[in-house]
Amino acid sequence: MDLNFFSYPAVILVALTSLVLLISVNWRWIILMLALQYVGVFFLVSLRWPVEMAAAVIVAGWMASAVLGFAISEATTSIPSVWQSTEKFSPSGRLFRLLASGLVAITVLSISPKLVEWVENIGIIQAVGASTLIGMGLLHLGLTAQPFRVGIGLLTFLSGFGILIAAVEVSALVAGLLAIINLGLALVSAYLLLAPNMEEAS
Amino acid sequence: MSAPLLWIFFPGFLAILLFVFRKLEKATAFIGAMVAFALAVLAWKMPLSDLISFGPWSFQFTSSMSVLGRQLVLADNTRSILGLIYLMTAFWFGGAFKARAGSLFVPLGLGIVTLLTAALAVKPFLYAALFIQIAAFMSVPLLSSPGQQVGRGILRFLTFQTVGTPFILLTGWLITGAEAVPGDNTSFLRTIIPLGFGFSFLLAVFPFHTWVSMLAEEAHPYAAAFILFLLPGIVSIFGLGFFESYAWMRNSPIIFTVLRLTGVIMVVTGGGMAAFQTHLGRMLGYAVTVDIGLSLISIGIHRGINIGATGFSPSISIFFALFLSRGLALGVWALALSTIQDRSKGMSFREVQGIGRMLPLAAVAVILAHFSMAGYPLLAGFPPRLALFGELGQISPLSIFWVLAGSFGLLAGGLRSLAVLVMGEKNDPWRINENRALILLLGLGVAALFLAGLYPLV
Repeated sequence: MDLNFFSYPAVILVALTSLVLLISVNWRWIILMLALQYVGVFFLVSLRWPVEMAAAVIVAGWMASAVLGFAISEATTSIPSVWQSTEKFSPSGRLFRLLASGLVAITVLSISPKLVEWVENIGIIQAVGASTLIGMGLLHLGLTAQPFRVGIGLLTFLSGFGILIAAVEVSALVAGLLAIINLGLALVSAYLLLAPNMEEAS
Repeated sequence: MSAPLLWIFFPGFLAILLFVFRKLEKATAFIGAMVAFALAVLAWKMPLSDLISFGPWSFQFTSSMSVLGRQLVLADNTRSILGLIYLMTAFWFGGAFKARAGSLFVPLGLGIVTLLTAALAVKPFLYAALFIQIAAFMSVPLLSSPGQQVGRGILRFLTFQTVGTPFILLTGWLITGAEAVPGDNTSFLRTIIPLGFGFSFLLAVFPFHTWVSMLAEEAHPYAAAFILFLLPGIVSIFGLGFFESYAWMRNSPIIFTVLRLTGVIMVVTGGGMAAFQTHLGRMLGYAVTVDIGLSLISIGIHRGINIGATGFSPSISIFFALFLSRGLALGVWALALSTIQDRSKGMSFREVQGIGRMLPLAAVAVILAHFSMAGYPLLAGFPPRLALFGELGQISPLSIFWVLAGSFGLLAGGLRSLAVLVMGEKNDPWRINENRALILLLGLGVAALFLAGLYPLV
């Protein structure tokens, strides 16, 4: 199946979703955007991988989103203050994040052509998509110390690298490994969200 | 029967079983320690790829096993590493119950050891990054117990371990390009930069080392020290695999120079920070930073001799001697710190002031383990450091000065800890309050530190 037609919308989708992930304070929106981001990643990965292999990315991504969604829902139900108190940033904070995203966009536009030269088999579309997600993921990680957001930032970063690795290696094993890492990360993030409310094991 | 079945799948299955029965903390610690010790003895005594006979029965013991199209290979020349890993695991599990490391320590610890052994066995070896990543995920519940607030150190640990893995996976593809065109500087740089980033994140190399001290402050000392010993140790051995597999890497002097320089920077920063530290947990973290730096230097002093397990160049002997002495010292240090933490409100200098009068054996163990990691004579850490300085002196005398400065910084931190532990505000009498089991374990640990110092491995 030729999905090349969707490559440009996919890049726009991953850029927009990663931006909303960064500036939104509503966890429902964040989970929805994360799930949508994996749709974009699926199309970018399918430029090189067969659709059935690329499907592993979207399935694992949606499962990871669901796990995080359940965990944050549970965490906010038990002690809402944990999420809300750390996530209330002022309009100026949101503006700062927007400006920082602009810097990431400039960096992406300047390094993507280099990436095409460096890495064989990668197209400019994949390079832009991958570096956008890697950059936004790192920015996300640099601006937070909240387990939920760290999980989101790492999943975004891994999605970017997933596109890069998919461009250089067509392997079912690699697809499986990336899916395992994504799911494992979602489970660990869920644990960190819920652990403070759990009873002591010993 | 195959070696991976015995040293990977069996302990992995046992880890699951122990997790089910984790409430029986004493029993799980005992079984875990005994099994790990038995596996260490088997690795030492039993030749792999041989016909094994038990009375009338005999069976072929193979060194490899196929899993999902990939091979897990534990060849005969890996027996010493296997034995070392499981011996240290037994040593750590032996003290787990008394250290009150939690009911998850032994099941998850055994699971982590299993995954890290699989990381050393998997072929192609680049897939090891995945096993290391899963081991890092598994470390999280160990380091951040249920009911405890999540600290920044654990988040940073998770972040750096996760960010490092894709770099290694990407290198897997880039490295074949570099090998195909030897001498091509562009391919060399394209490969070595992501590889360097990957290992810097995984190994907590400067400037990505901040999580080490943060984790040592936030987490239970025993769990934190176990992870800080095991994870960087196995990742370093995994890194040595690159030198063994790719000739262009071991023939590149620039890589060894960078490793030496990075190591020296880590020793200086770790030692410098330790000298001004006021928290016993963070102190342990900085000692680990210094030791990782020394391990990097030990690889960096390699000079043209085959670096593989068959070659055993001086640098590799020093590397493994450092690994063993670090395991011993950290085990004793962590057990003693756990004892102190149980009796005090925290581990900052203000909170532990004078506690040495109440827990003299734990205080002695903390100080001796600290001094051992600073390279004090007669203790386990001294012989490998002496050998390392000898080798380093022939390559870069200036580096010796900086490494010694870092070691003195760590030693100064130890002297400050000693002063704080023995100088209470009140003139309390000295009294041994440790129970018999703790006295025995700490005594054995301290004796092992002296024995390893008096009968060096290098």
